[in-house]
Amino acid sequence: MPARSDAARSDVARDADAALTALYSEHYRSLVRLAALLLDDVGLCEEVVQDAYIRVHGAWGRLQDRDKALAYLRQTVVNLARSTLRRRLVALKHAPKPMPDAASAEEGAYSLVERAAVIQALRELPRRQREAVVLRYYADMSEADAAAVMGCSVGSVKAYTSRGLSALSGKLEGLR
Amino acid sequence: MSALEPDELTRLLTEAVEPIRPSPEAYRQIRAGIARRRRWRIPAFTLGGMVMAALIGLAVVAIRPSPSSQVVEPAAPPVMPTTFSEPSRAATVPSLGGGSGHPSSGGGGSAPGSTTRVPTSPLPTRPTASASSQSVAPTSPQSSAPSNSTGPGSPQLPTPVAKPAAANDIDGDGQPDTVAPDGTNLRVRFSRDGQVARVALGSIITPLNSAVIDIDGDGFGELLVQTQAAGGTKSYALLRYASLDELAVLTLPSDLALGAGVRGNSALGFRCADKTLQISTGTSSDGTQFNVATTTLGFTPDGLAVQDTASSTVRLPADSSPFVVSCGALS
Repeated sequence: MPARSDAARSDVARDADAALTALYSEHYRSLVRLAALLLDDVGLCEEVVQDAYIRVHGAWGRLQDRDKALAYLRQTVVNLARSTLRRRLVALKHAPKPMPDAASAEEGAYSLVERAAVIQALRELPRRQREAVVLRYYADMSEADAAAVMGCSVGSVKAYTSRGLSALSGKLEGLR
Repeated sequence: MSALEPDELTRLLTEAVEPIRPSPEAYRQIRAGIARRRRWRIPAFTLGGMVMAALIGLAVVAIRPSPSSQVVEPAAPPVMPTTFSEPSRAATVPSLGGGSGHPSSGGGGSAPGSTTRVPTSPLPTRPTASASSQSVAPTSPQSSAPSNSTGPGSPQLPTPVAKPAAANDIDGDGQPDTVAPDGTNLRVRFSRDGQVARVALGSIITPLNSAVIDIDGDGFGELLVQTQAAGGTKSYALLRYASLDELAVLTLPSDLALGAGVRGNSALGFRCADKTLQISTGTSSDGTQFNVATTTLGFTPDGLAVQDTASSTVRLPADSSPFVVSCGALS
């Protein structure tokens, strides 16, 4: 049955390509912005989102419900953002001395975001609280969906959101 | 401090990331990443499979028990005396003519025919020894009641240090053991523990004509002893190390005897070859041309078993005589 399986594989690949194009045109920008809110280095956000697209494309044949491709994509973005932060933390811990910050082209492009007080306040939140706030109030996800993406219970999402909102209120007091 | 409203926070977050513009090269970079992943997928999977197979192979090789039959055991494991014993028949030491009336002319008051009296006391024996062999243990000379301790519960033999056994090594410890006649008994001192076994053979030729040969290659030497000499023929007894400090006289299948020489129209001879004992029995009508029946006996835990028979014809003295002893230095 090699011919049949080759044909099936080629159908899946065509389907994945078409779905990838559609997901890119509709959601790429919002996902990059989501990643920008989760990461403390906005230069990495496009890299993370592109990696998420590549992974979803590779796993397209294994997706059980392809209507949930966007949810899968979001979850991949959140997971990759976490991994990136964790790697950066480990690298910082083991760095012999702090490396001087070198401005990159991306950083120039995102300089406005870097300076935004709300971004700064968001970065000061613990990771879980930041994820809960971003998923609930920027990605407009329900508590259940946010809990699924974060890999925790709905109650935890409620708690993280509440604490994050309270912390942001204090930090953004002067902005309002 | 007034609480931040969700709507307001949504607005703030949206405005904060509003300036972000994705790279125009993003789609091309994603496609390039997909192509790169696809290109490396098959080689990576192949390599991973090969590495996994190699690891599994290594694990199997490491875990699989060695095919070597060599078993690592203590040089001299403790051997416990058995508690199992049962009465046995007295064994007959084969003589030329199967003990059918040939006169015995051995020295020292030997009885017609030859028998082995086995001392008493339950003793350890070769685990699967059967009634075809008689066990003789080192006991006091006064012990005379027959016994044969075989059966379940019998301990293992000591572990031999070399296979085949070293020269004159009966008990498998690598050291020569001492064999000496004592009247009609044979006295064997084992170098393993200094114990002495006495075997009653009925008659023994003096000076002693014996040889220790590990015929079956089990690491314990078999003891061949000449018991009689009469009319140009000689008779022999074959003893085997049955268990710790114990010898057993091996009996032959019926119609066979350990002997050598020609008497009239009948002749006997034997040789040790390739872990077997070959007994040649010759009959003749004129005393020169003999029909020879050669029986090959193999060593089993139960004693001796017929493996093969063959027949041939020899003319004496022109042909090489099979009616001699050809086992080590024994003559």
